[in-house]
Amino acid sequence: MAVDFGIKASRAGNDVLTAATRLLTVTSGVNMYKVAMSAYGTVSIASGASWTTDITHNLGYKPIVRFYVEHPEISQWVLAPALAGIATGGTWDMTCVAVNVDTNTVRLGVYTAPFSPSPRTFKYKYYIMIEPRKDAWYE
Amino acid sequence: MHGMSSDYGIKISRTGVDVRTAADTDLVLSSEFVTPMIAKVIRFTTPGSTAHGMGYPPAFIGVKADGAGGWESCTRGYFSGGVPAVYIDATNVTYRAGETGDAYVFILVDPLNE
Repeated sequence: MAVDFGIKASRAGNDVLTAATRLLTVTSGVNMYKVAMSAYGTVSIASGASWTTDITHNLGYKPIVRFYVEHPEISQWVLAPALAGIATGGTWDMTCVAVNVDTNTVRLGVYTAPFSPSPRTFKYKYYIMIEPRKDAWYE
Repeated sequence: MHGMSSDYGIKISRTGVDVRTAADTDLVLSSEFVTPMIAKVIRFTTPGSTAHGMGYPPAFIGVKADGAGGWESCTRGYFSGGVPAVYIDATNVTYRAGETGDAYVFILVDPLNE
């Protein structure tokens, strides 16, 4: 009989001893996203202008990043990378991206086409994960 | 739980790694870090909008059938025209008109507007 150690919890109604992995809520055999840092913010951007900001995370490696931005004309949130606006119900486009500048810095960017009225307030939220962009473990 | 410092919480390490000395990247979870939670999964078989019921714009992750037997992220980047297949507001999640194939949107608990 194999000896295995760890912890696992199953969804309600499922026997944890026999439940398939997809029916578990947590198991030491499967990685889960962990948020190293996150923040919500707003920024005023003039028509046709761009905005970038660097986030220092000091993880020492390039992590997985999720960056969401709300297009202010149509009040819709998109997940970067994205070109949102005209094809999603609006009259002008914005592009949002998140890039790893180096192993300690993430750069967020919003780039806009001309719009009116100007300026507009953009809402955004980012999540920087503990998980590295490359070679995150899984079992 | 930590033995030396006055820190409290729970953490679980991956199999084969000592939880007391594990690097953060070798943890399954830790009360030190938020673990994104899935509130619900919404399936689209055709483009459209549907209420997600969260009462706020939630974080989300979308995947869609790529038409070649595989699945792709609902964010495209520049190489595919960049237009997102999925977007969300405080009430609805939308699978963009003109898209083809099924899509699944994982609605996360965390709000985007705070």
